[in-house]
Amino acid sequence: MRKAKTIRHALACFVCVLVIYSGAGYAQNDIAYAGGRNKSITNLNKEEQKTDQKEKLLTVLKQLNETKGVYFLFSEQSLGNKLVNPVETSEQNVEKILTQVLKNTGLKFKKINDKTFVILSKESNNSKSGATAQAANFNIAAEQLKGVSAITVPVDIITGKVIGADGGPLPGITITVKGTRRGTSSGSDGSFSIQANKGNILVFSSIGYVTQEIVVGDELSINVTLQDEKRQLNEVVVTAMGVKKQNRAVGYSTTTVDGSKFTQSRETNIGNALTGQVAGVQVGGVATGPYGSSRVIIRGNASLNGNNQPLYVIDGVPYDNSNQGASGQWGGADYGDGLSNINPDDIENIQVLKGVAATALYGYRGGNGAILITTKSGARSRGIGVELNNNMTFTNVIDERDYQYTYGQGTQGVLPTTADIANATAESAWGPAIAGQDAVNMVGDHYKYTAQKDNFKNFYQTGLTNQTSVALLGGNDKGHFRIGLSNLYLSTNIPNSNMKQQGINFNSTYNITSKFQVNLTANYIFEQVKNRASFSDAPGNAVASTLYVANTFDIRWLKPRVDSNRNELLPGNQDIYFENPYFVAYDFENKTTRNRLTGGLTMKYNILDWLYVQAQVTRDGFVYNQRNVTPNGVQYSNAGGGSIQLTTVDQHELNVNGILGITKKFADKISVNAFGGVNSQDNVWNWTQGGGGPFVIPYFYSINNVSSKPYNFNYTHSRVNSVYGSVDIGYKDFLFLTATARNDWFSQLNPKTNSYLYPSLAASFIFSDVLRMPSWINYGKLRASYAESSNTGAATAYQTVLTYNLQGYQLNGQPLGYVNTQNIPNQNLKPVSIKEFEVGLNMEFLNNRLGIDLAYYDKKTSDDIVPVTVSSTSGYNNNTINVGRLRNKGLEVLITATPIRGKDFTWNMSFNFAQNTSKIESLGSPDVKSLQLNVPRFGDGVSISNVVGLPYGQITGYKYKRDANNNIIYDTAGLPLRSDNIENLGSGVYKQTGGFTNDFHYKNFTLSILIDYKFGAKIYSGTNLVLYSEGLQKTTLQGREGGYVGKGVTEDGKTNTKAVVAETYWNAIAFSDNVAEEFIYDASFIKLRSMSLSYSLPKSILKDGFIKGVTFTLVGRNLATLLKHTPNIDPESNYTNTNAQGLDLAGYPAVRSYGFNLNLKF
Amino acid sequence: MKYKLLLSVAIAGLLSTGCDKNFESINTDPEHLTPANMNYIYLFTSAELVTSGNSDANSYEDWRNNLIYGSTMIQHLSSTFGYWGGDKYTYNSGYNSAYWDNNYNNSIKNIVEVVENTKDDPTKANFYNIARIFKVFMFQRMTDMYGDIPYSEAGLGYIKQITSPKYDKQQDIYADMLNELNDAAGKLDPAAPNSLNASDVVYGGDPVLWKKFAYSEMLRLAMRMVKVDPGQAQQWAQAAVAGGVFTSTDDDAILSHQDFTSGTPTINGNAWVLAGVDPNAARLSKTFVDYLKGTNDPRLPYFGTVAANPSDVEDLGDNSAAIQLGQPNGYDNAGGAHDISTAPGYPGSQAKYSIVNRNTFARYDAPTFFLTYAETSLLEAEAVVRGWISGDAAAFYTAGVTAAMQEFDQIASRVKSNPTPLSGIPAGAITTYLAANPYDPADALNQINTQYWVATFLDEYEAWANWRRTGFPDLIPIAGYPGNVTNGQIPRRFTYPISEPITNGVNYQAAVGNLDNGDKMNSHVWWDKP
Repeated sequence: MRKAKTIRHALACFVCVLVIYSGAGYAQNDIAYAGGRNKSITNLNKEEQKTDQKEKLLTVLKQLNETKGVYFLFSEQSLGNKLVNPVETSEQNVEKILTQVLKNTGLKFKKINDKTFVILSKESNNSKSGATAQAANFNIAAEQLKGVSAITVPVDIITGKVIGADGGPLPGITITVKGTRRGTSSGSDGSFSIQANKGNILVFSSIGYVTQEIVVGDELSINVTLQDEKRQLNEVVVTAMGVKKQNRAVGYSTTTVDGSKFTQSRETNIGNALTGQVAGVQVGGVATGPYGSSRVIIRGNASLNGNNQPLYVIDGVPYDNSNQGASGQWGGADYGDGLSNINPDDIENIQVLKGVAATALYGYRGGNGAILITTKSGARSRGIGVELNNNMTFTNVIDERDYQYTYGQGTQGVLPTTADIANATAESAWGPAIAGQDAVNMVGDHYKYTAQKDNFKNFYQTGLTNQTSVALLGGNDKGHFRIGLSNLYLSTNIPNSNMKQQGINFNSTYNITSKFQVNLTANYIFEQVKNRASFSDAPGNAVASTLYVANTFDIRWLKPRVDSNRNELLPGNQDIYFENPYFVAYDFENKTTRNRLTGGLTMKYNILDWLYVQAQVTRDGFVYNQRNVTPNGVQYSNAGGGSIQLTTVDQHELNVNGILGITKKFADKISVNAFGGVNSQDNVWNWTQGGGGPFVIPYFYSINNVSSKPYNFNYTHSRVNSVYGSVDIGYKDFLFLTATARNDWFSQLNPKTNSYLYPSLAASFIFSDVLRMPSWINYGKLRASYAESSNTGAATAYQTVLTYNLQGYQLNGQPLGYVNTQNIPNQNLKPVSIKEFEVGLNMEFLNNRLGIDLAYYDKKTSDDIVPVTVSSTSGYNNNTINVGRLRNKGLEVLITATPIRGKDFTWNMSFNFAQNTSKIESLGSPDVKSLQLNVPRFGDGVSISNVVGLPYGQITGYKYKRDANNNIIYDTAGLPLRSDNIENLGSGVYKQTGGFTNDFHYKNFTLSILIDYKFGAKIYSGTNLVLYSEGLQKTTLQGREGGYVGKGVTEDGKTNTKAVVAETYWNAIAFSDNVAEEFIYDASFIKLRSMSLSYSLPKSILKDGFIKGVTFTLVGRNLATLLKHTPNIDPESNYTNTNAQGLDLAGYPAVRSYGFNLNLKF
Repeated sequence: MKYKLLLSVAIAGLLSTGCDKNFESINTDPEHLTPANMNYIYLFTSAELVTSGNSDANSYEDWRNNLIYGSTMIQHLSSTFGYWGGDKYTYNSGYNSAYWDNNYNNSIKNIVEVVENTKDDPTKANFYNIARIFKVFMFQRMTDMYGDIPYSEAGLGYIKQITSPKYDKQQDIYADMLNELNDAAGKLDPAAPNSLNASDVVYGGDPVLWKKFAYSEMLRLAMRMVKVDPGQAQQWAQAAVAGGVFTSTDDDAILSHQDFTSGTPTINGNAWVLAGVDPNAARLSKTFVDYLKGTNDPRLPYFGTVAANPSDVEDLGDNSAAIQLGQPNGYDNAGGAHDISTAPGYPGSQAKYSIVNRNTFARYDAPTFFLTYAETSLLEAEAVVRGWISGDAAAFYTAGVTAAMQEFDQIASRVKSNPTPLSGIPAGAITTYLAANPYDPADALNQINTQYWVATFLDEYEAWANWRRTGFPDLIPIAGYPGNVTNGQIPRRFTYPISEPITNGVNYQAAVGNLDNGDKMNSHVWWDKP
């Protein structure tokens, strides 16, 4: 450590060393303890004294049944009379007591589940193969232990197999004959046999499954399918750093989403598939196309302009989800994010950690919540299994256009009768009334002047998605593995564009010894995308052209793509950026490939049964290549000479960490789980770009075919070192306390201030275990937590000093230098601070058929790193400083219910609702009232800004100027005046979001329906603005004949009577005197998001054949919009996934998909 | 046991390296220059290049301010395309602010970096003073377009952490610029070592030429104040001439693009638009062609050409003087009342109107003229006419027109690529022209400044500024075009960027308050006294 450091910093670092060395000291003590096994002499004496005072086994077990609430089974009734040791101390857990009680008695026990134990005689169980057979013959049911009941003599032996909903065998299921003491449990292949009479009721039960009762009939073979118990009571959840906990011990909100939710009506981007699934998880409605980026926000935007998306972790490996480029004010393609690299067929489940308390162990990057993805493993399998899945869907563009078709192409009412006029008016529907007149198009051809309503149908094609996954899995006592292979082919609605993706997912665990476990996970993906679509501004944007051509313009006129000079055949010659969509689709080129390997190696060693160490290395990295060709013949660039650009991104994150942990129970009342660890995170990013133009030999698109190709290279390297620890204390299994702390040191920051501490505290109280509850309340838990975190850490490297660069080209042989940034460097940057308080309540009612989960949170962000947009006259565009303060408060509600649960028919429903209220509290100086996030292509003063005192992401712009009575005021020319100042027009971020899921199971059929909704956001529709200006929007029908008289008053207060030529009027509002208010729409909606109907072949048909399970599913996604307020566009039409939500302009049109899924198990 | 030991060692090892060891070296960018190893001459080269008008290979400032607005307002060119609003006086905020948007955070940031980082280094005194002089030229152009602008606090976002620069009054800016020129020119030392050399792509770092440039620029600034402060104007004009202005075309401040790299900002910005990205939009204006024809100006075939297909950028067309035809300003292609086909004398096809000659001004490698002997001589002629300096107005006029006609020799000698350049105007033709159009003392101001208008073809910023201060030539504004924002008058300034009220609101509002008609194109800048 350097002397220059502050005392505070020195202390912090000292503490970190201390914690770990004391940890290491622990380890040494344990070694001594484990090695010595030196029990104290007094203990030995006690043991001897007790040996004489034996008791009957049945007595002891009855006593344990009463005090511990556990049940016992044993094979022969005579065992009950065997003499065993009396209970020495009941303060221990059941296993300990049983070990002690059965010591030296010739008996042993086997744990079936937390509440059930089997007593066996040692001799009877020596052969391994006998274990199952023995288990099948226990004939004292647990319930009968309390009293003496008659043993009826069974007549028949019923045999069968218990399987899960997925068709796999379920071992360890308790099977009892109702009203008797007879019971057994299923074997490792799910099979069982039990003696029972006709008319007896067999009860199949186990934790995690819905208990099922079956009446014994004539059939001696019974196969039973148990449905998963969806309740969270005893569910084990994955928490930060991959630590598994019983849900009851968790003091904050977390939600598990089962992998099956992603495999049926699937989305290529897993982020988008989360929509409507989890209360408080808002999936932005982004029109970025099928391989574009997603936007997932948990509990509101916590950063004014930094990263607001959660941390993604796959099998313990932090997973980069940054997008490689989004559309902006000047257009451009969306180059996708990381989430389309995950195959839904590989997902076991997704754990959503919403609050800061849940994620504080992730330190500086936990502040936005975390999404932990667990991939499937072979853990449940014995032997070798194969699973095959094919999903095939078709997508069609939803044509949201509702244009006027009364007046056609032209301007000032003039019919296009020459090619010149047609060329000047391609984007203009201010022509005469459409009446089938003879008109001339832009290439001079005569045509009948009629409405062309099918331009969408004629241009867009049906898209296809076909994903095939094959998984090979296996396991035995030593370990298990799963290899998943997948192939995805996707073609979009815009012609000549597709995605191919091949993936391998590997997940394996092996127990090298009973104490030493090794786990290896790896996910490799190779992705190729051809021609990602561009949005927003027009260049290279096929969507824009298709939207903008006049309503009598037949898009198929553009099919030749080029004119006789091989130049792009434009719809008109007045706007070289308004392109031919066929030319964009077939002649422009953008290709990306991504090779990505994400993997981790974890080694865990259990030093003692309560002490373990773990070491882990993880790496997530990819190489991304992008090739862009602007073709020869394009009119707007390089004089038709074309250009090429090649980009490569090579980035990776490496984490090395070690953990030392203990799991111990004290006096049978207090359980302790604790661990401490260290982590070093290292990030490297390389970016190279080269290219140039024009092509020396036209139409030969190679980087070698341009004479000069400037080459640029950027590199960043940063490291975060961390020390962390966590302590869980449980009292009598109903009160739990968790405290965590993590300290991060950042290389990116000024060395004087680079150390930050993130603590958390959470408590959970199962009040239903302590207080007397009415019988209809099954479960009740209160939870509360407080935590601190960050979400951007220190942003990127090298932001603290000014650097210079040289251009990749020269002028007359002279190098050209420039300042390397438009961002003013800042020496004093520090991480964003996020503090969150949360309380919650879980309750289960009516025999667990109705559940409610409530959460309330209050999350405050301060010291937010903000690239404040500064006047460009400063020489820079942004000044990056820690100034922001904002707050998110909200309520999350999840209601689950099983209205019907029967043998053949089950109906599960789930409704989630979240409300988030955000408020920008400060932007530093009181003079600074707003922070601009983005501006659209069109609209004076229109921006998405964070405005002090208002919710996140305000749309700003001019309103109509109004008098005291709210009348619009018109000038002498009859045009509306606009407000004196730029006004706030509402937030582009939804306030209320949620979803409503219904699953119906009838015999082998399952019908799932998801309806989702979002309310309380606005959208500024650039598309509608353009349509106003072009006279395509229906509103512009007003005033076509005789002019438009605006409703309102003149400046001197009289009623406005001045008529304005409609074309002038609507154009003024759109462009020359832009009134943003006119283009603000309510973006609220309700959608029938997905629906699937599946049928599984009954086991009776499959028998015990080669095929173990077949499920066929019909799937549909985005089937209907039940409510919306946006003309001509889908309400979810944001063209980027950035923080600036609320801007629409020529984004990817909404699509509907439908198809089928076939799942085979061998 | 082994594992525990290994892990303990691993943890101890990790920590013994310290929680933030090597962080400073990790956080040093290995791929970029720092103030410690930067040579600021390369920023100066960039400042010169960007000022020539093509900051981003899209040439937006040139396209929008110089051509779309400037050239058509001043009726050098004419366009029927809707977005070419300069001769119809329609409004586009982004086009108005393009020059500002592309220079403050680029060329101006660079020149400020240069000035601030060389001012304390006595070995770079000449470099420092040259940078100050060129900085004045850059700000003169900016303030002439917009009026009051950030000047004294501009470009200092990092150096002085000024993020909302105040707007200086144009009057104050002019006063300071004149003092700067005077001071810097006085301190240039011909004997000092040259630290710029070829990195100064205008003068090779020659202090003698930069001194002449400083005084010629001083004369331009002085004459700009003729309407608003004739006293100061006279005083500074005298100081400029006394200091020593340009004396021949060899002194001209010219930036060559002859080694241009295709697809980069090193191409001549005007040419990139006129024979590159927007080849079919513009024609020579009827006003301009008619004037040239009326005086039998030998420059006409150098300015114009008639191409069968203007969209074909390789079509050099026919430049014979007889067939050159100017397109009237104020028309469109919309098929309505203003359609070009309704214009008097419409030749039946727009291709028959002259486009800018693609072998002179619209060559990618055509040089950029920053400040010329021709302009300086004409300004001297005017100063003589006004009685401010001594000399022979006719001689200055003759020298100015001659120099302007010799520009085509200068172009021919500074281009390298195909096609073979047109050879310049023969001396005899110049003599003939001057004999037919001699200096006329009775109409001197009109004649001198109309020649200035011709001499500044495609340096439209300068042509427009000089027209605004003198009113010559007497242009007829286009009246009554639908949607025009100036009540049919030629605009007097460009509007500020729409980002300024948001990012620099207080200063912006103060500046707007000083305008006679608000932040509009028909407000007047300080020296353009209505």
